Amino acid sequence: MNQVGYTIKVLLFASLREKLGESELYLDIAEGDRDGLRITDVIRLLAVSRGAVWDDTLTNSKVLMAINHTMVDAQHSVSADDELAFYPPVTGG
Amino acid sequence: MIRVIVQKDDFDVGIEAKILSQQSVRIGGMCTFVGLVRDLNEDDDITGLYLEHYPGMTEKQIHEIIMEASGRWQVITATVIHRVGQLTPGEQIVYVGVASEHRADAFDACEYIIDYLKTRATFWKKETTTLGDRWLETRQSDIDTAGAWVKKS
Repeated sequence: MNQVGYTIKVLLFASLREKLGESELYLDIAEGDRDGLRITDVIRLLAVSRGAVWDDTLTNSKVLMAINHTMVDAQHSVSADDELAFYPPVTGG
Repeated sequence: MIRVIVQKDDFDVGIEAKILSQQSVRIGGMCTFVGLVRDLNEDDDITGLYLEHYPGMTEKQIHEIIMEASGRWQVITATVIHRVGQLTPGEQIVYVGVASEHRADAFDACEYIIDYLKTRATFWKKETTTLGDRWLETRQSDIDTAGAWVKKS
């Protein structure tokens, strides 16, 4: 573990969770990647550590995302301790 | 008091309506909507429905939708209950109750809340059918229905 941790929490829901096989994970961001970190960068880092299917799946234009319970787009910045969620279009009610 | 509840258990429409009605003596009318699990969708036999949500965000979104409705119409109080987990056809899935001084506000606010709940709140439905499981896609008709409120103002 880094002495000064920089971790983000990543959540996946519904079909994305099933396709990628994880519902919740913690991603440690290396010091060199922290400055100006955006969701697109997080997706790239996930693909590096877990496989290209993560990039293919999460860059689909239908995938929605939220940071700390607020919907954002893929260009949104990400900070330490943020909760980043990826999910498909909603079907409640 | 606005109540937003996401739960696995069923709800009692009568009890919920009573709780709603007792919140204020100013209430002159209440409108409630109850959604049920249907067994006919795109021609397959549905054996069950599994509902997933995003704890924390879902509740926050429903609160926001109720507050938007309260800004457009005169709303004294409202209740939304949405079930998650495994459900079977015929079961209650969602309850929306709105109490207002006058009926027109209650009708419109109730419809607005369920329309936006379907297109914005983070719930996902997975159908179990005789042909296998599948995640449902968002219906364009639901998006159009909710979108119509933007034009109506």
